[in-house]
Amino acid sequence: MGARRSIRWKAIGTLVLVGALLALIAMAAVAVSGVYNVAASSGHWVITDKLIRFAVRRSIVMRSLSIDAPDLSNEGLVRLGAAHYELACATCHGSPSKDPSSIVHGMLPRPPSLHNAAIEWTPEQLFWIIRNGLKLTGMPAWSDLRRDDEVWTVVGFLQRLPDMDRNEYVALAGGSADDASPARTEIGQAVSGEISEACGRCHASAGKPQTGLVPDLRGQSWTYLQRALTEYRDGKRASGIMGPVAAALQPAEIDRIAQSYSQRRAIKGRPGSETSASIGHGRIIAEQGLPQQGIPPCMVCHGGNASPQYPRLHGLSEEYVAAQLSLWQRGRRDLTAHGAVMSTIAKRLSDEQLRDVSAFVGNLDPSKHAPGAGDSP
Amino acid sequence: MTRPFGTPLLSLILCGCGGAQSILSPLGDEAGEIDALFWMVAGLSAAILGGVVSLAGAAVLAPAETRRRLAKPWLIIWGGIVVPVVSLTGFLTYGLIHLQAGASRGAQGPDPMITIVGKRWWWEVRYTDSAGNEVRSANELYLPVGRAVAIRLVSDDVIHSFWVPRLAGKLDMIPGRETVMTIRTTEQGISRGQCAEFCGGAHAMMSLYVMTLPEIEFQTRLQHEASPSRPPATDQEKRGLAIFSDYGCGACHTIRGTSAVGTIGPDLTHVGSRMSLGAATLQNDAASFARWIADNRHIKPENLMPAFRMFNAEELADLSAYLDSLQ
Repeated sequence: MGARRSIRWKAIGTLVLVGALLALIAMAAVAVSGVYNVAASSGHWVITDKLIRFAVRRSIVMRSLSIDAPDLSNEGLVRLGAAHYELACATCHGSPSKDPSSIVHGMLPRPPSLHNAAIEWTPEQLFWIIRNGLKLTGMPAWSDLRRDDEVWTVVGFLQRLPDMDRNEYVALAGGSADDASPARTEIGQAVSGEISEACGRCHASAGKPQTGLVPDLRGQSWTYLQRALTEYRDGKRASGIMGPVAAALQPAEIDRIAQSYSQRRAIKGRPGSETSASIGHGRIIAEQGLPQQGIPPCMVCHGGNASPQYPRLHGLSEEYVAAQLSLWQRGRRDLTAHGAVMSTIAKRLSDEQLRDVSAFVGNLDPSKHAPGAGDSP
Repeated sequence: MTRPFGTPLLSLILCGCGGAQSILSPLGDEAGEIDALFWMVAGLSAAILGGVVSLAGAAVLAPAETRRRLAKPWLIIWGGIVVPVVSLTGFLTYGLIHLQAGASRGAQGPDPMITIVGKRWWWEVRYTDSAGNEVRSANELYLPVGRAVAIRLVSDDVIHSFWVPRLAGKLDMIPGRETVMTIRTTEQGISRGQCAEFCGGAHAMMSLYVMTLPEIEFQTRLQHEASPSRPPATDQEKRGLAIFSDYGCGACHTIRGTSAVGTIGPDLTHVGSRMSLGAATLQNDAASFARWIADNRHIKPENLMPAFRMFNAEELADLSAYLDSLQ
């Protein structure tokens, strides 16, 4: 009885082993022989296509379960998302102002139109896809994974896209990158004090930037702007939006761009959202510091009389300052020597103090401020 | 000693009995009393230990008659109750009345002319002259020889404890409360003090040096502490001061005589003249300044000053030369 059972198990075991070996050999044979056609032009079998799409969808749904979307209704968020979409995404996915490049028609899978993406996917699922990218599809991950806040701007833009017509899109995105002048040459156009269209799309070439999330660069020193662009280019300052833009720049171009912005004067921003009490608290932090908490007064370094390595706060928006302070608090901007100093200090601010000091900075009037020491190339 | 390692071991242990931070080489009255009390308690402890060991030996080895006598209740009554009660009461009374334990001694002393503020993780030292002017220094204390000086101890953040073993016992610095310590030093010398209450990350590196000086030298030193900083003399020092101002060092530090008026970190007006840097963490020279500015958080973990790594070697040398020149 016992002996017969053990013989049966032995037979099953041998069969499984032989089967596994044959399967391995078959797989190796397929790979080595090149019989599988990897051509994008050949397409998938219908069954393969359905299976892949099903697996991709399940992966996205399951992996985005733990994400919570922030408030995406902020107009500035949508504008910044639109401007980045125009520069980074529209080439493959198309936009209300232009169809995707005909080159991408040959991709497998073909990059989908995102016009109705917000209907098909939840904001959390879109965030997951944009942040992480999709294997074997040509969809890249966000170019700096430390900046989830930037990913949400594109998600915010996609929420609005289903109802957007061409004119609204062009207005939001700060103009359309015309087919005739690819982004790369536009950036390089910052010659003799002119601000290029590519920079101006977000940072504005005249007037304030379209959204407070983007800093107004006018009035910043040549030294600081040069350092900022170099840090973005080298990936030391994290940004999936500025990183790719700066990576395309030659040192001479960085020089010209920094020069053209530094020669303009900063102007006062829009009135912030905070109350005057909040601004008053912020003034104390910015002008006197909070010695008990180890927080030095901001204006000693950032008032315009210190090293040109330090940015000036005049003309910066409340939203931008709050977002940067938050990055420092979360350790997302401490790879550079300057960033590490600010990170140490920002971590000592409470949430309320962070809001107060940002409100104060957003209400600074650059016209009542003497420009700093001469700083030109 | 027959064992070969006995002598080196003993000398190693005895090494701990001297030096700038030893209770066994007192420089002042208060530490002298503690020293005397130490030897008294140590002597009595030795006597008690000897007695107990002899009795235990006798209980095992002595003749039967002696052992029978030892087994009576009188030994317990005298050795276990009367002697401890009398000796401990005596020491307590001595401690309370003669040593004036607690804050009672400070209350009788002169008005405090020195305030020491415990901070994470350094000491702010404030001298008040007869006219009521306050002069701030840090991580270094000067005291006159032969005169009782009251020191007000306060804290800015958490509980610290001021302990300079060669001068006096420990006294806590408690937030929201003043404690006063009176010290009368008897001879000139250098003592090292150490925070004696765990106060967070860099507690072990919160130390200071105390210099006791003859009255005349002490007054000269106070006048020097009160004077504004030395203006930069060389080109390098001038560049150093420009860097100090441009990079916002003055947001946290004061150098009297310049635009730097920060109160978060130590006053640096005469930092070059101090015995140490970083609250007795590094020796005081230009190279230490450079290390401290660029890398203080590795030298003194959790130190609250941000590391300024943006300077190149030349800028760092200029800045260090200037700070080192602040005699």
